[in-house]
Amino acid sequence: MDLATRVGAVRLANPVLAASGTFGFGPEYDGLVDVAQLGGVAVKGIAPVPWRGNVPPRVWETPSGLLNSIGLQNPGVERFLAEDLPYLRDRGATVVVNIIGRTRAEYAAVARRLDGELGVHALELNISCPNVKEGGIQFGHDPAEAAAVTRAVKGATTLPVWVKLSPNTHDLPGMAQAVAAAGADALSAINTLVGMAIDVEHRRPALGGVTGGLSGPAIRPIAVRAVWEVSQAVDIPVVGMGGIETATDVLEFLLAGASAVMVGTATFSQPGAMIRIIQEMPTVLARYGFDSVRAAIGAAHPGRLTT
Amino acid sequence: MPRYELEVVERQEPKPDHVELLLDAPSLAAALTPGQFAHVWTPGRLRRPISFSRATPDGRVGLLFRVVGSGTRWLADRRVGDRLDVLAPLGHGFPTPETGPVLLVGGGVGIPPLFVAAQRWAATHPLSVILGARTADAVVMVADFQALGLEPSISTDDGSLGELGRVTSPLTRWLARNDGGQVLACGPTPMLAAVAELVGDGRPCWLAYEQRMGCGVGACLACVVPGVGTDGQPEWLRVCHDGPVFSSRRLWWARRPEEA
Repeated sequence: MDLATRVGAVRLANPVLAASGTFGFGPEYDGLVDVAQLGGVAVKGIAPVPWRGNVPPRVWETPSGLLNSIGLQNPGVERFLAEDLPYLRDRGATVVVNIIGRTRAEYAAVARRLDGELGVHALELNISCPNVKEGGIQFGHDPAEAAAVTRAVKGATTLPVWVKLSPNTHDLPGMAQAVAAAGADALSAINTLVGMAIDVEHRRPALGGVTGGLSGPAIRPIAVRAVWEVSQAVDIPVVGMGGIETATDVLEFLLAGASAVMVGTATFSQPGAMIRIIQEMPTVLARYGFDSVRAAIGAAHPGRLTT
Repeated sequence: MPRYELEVVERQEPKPDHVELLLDAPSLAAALTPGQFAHVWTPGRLRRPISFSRATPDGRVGLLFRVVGSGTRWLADRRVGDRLDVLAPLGHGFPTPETGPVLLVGGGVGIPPLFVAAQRWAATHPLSVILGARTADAVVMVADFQALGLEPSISTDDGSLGELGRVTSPLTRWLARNDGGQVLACGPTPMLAAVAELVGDGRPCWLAYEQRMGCGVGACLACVVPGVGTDGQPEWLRVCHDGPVFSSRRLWWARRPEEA
C-alpha cells in the first residue's frame, strides 16, 4: 500500500503529522514515538523571542474534548534552533515549524531566521490561536490582515508556507482564498474553537486564561466541514485536523479533501496513537477500495463518486 | 519512559472515597524514586497523574487516590484482575537525603509519596513523620508508617484525629528541636507554601507539587508552576517533567502566579 502523499513541494512518507503544541519538540516522547516513522512533526509555535504563556490551570477535560489555554509559551527561535531542532533533524523527521508573532514584522522575522536552516521543511503560519490577545488570532479574523501577514512571511523565506486557519470566523472559504491569493503554499485547518468551562467546585473559570481552545473528537465534524469547504474554495493543498483518533478518521479527512492530517489531542491519552494509525492505514484504505493515500484525497467531492 | 499494562492484584479502600490499587510491576517497584508518579489511562481525553504510594519487595507498586471526578471514579471501580494502561515512572522524585534527620510532611492525598520515601530511607536515615488533613477520614497510611516503626504526628483541621490545627504546629516544634536536617513535603499548594516559609533557606526543603496535567511528559506545557530561573527571573516549571519534586528555592513563593 502506498501511503506517500505531498503537501505542495513537501513530500511525506505517510499522511500523519503531529499537531503543533501537542508533541513539544519530539524528545518528550522519546521511547514512545519514533519521530522518523511519522509523516512529520509540527513543533510548538515559535516566536522571535521567548513567550511566557498563560496562567495555570491550562487544561480542562470536556465531553469528547479538551480545553487548553497554554498561551503560546515558547523558547524563542534562537533557543529552538540551538536546543530543540537538532533532535528532530538528527532522526530524519520532516519538520514543520509553527510560527507566531505579535506583529507582521515579528512573523516575518521568525520566517527569515528559519530560512535555509537544515532540517526545517515548511512553516505553518499560526494566525488562529484563540488563547493570546496579541498575535495569533487577531490576524485570523480579517482576510485582508491574514493576506498581509502571509505576504510578509512569503517575502521573508523560501520555505513552503502553510497557513493555519481558525474555525472562529464567519467566512472560512473567503479567508482561504485571501491567503491563497497572498501566496500560501497550503492551508491547515482547523485550529481550536473558543470555549469555556466553569470549575463548579471552586466557583471560578476552569482555566487560568478564562477561555480556551477546544480540541478533540468534539470538534471533528466542524473540522471535516472546514476541510470540505476550503478544499473546494482553493487550489492549494489542505492539511486537515480536529479530533482524529483512528485510521478511519484520517480517511474521512482525506475524502473531504485533505492531502495530509495532523493528530494532536489523541496523543495525550495514547502517546502511540499516531504510530498505530499509520500502521492501520493500509488495512483501512484497502477495506474501502483504495490502493493509495493519494487516490482517497477529495474522493467524496461531487463528481468524484466512483462506486 | 515506558508504557505498561499492569494487572490489579489487590484493591483496598483505606478511607471513605479513597482507593489504593496494587499493581504487579516488578521492574517499576525496583526502579521507582519516591515522589515519581504514574500517568494512568482513563476514559476520556486525559490520563490521570497519580503518585506511587508504595513499592513492595515482592514486586508490587501502589496507587492511592481520592475519588474526585469521572477519571478517579472509573479508576476506583477497577477490580482485581483488571489491567491499567500506565506511563511510568514519570518525573523527578525526591533526591536521596543527605545524612542527618529527615522530616516527612504529608497532607491528604500528598501522604502516599512520602510513604515510598519512608520505605526507601527508614533504615538509613532518622525519619520523623507529620501527617495532616481536613478530617480523620483523609489521613491515610498511618498504620503503614507504624509498621516501619515510625509514629506519625497527626493534625486535622477539625481535630477529629490527632492535634487540632495544621501541620505547621508540629513542624514548628520539629524545627526547634533539630538544628539541621531536611524536609520532604507533599500536599496542597497552600500547605507547601507554609512549609517552605517555616523551613526557610537554612536547610534543604523538597516539595512535591500538584497541577492539572496534560501529556505528563513535558510536551504540552499545561502543568506549569511559577519558578525561579537560573538568572533569578521568573520562569514556568513543568510539574510533570521538571518536577513534581522541586527544591523550595526554585519556586516563586513571594508573588502570585499571574505576576510571575
